[in-house]
Amino acid sequence: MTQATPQEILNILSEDIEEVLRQIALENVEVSYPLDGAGPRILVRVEEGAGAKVPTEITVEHRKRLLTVPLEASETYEPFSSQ
Amino acid sequence: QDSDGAQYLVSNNHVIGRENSARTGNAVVQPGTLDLTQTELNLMNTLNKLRKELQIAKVSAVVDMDFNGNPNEVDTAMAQFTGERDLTQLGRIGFGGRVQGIAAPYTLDANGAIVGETRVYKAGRTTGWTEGNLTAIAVSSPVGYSKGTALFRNQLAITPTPDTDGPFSNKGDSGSGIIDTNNNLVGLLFAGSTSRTLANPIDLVMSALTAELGKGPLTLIT
Repeated sequence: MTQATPQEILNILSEDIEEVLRQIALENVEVSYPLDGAGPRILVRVEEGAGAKVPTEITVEHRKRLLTVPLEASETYEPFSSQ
Repeated sequence: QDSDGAQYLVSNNHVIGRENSARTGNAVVQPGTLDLTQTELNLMNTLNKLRKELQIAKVSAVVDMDFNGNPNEVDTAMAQFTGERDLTQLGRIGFGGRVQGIAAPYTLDANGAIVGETRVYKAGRTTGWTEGNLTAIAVSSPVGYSKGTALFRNQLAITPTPDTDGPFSNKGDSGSGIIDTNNNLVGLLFAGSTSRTLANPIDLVMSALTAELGKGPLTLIT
């Protein structure tokens, strides 16, 4: 299986977000590409106690190619509201 | 400014578009009624009086938001200035400086690191001038509104710098332009949590408004 490049991860977060969220399959989730320099991945923020339920990676069909994307769970979900 | 030279202000759908309920031609007033004293409110106690004293624009285009689970990319609307106010300070930021232009979208290098600086700034109604760092891109998250929850994708997440006293933004700061160290616009502020701020990338805002208004290209007034 081919690992997604950093740019492909961004593209997946844009074009395939419904599939990403479907595979994570949790309520109250925020996903993003973090800029902390710790490597290309999707950061998955979830509520306290839900971290163990986040898969360590997902496989997505993106532009007709199967790509794997590493996930990192963080139990730091904070709800956003309009300001 | 549109292709005919008409000038507009840009804000959020939830600020001047009433979460999809506004109609073209609705008045936009400045300051907002939340920022008026009771004496001022008593003096302008009808809609006509309020419009006469404080109207600055009329709603021209609202990019509708989806509250049914389909991902949104922008929370934005625009209103055409109606000529009551001096617009010479339009491009001014906070206590000084002017917006210089629109920043190119953020990109990654071959190692997956962001290209360029992550420092950003804004001047807002509630928290004033604040400094932050872009800490995530391509953010997808639910966002709460009075109408319900809207899912967003492709957003920018910002955290206040360590020496900033308080959050980067708070209630009432929505609609603020977010700029980089070169005073170029990078985003439109629309939401926040207890520790972070969400912004629409400015290129997505401009594209959506151009499509909604139908009088492009739209150019930034600097």
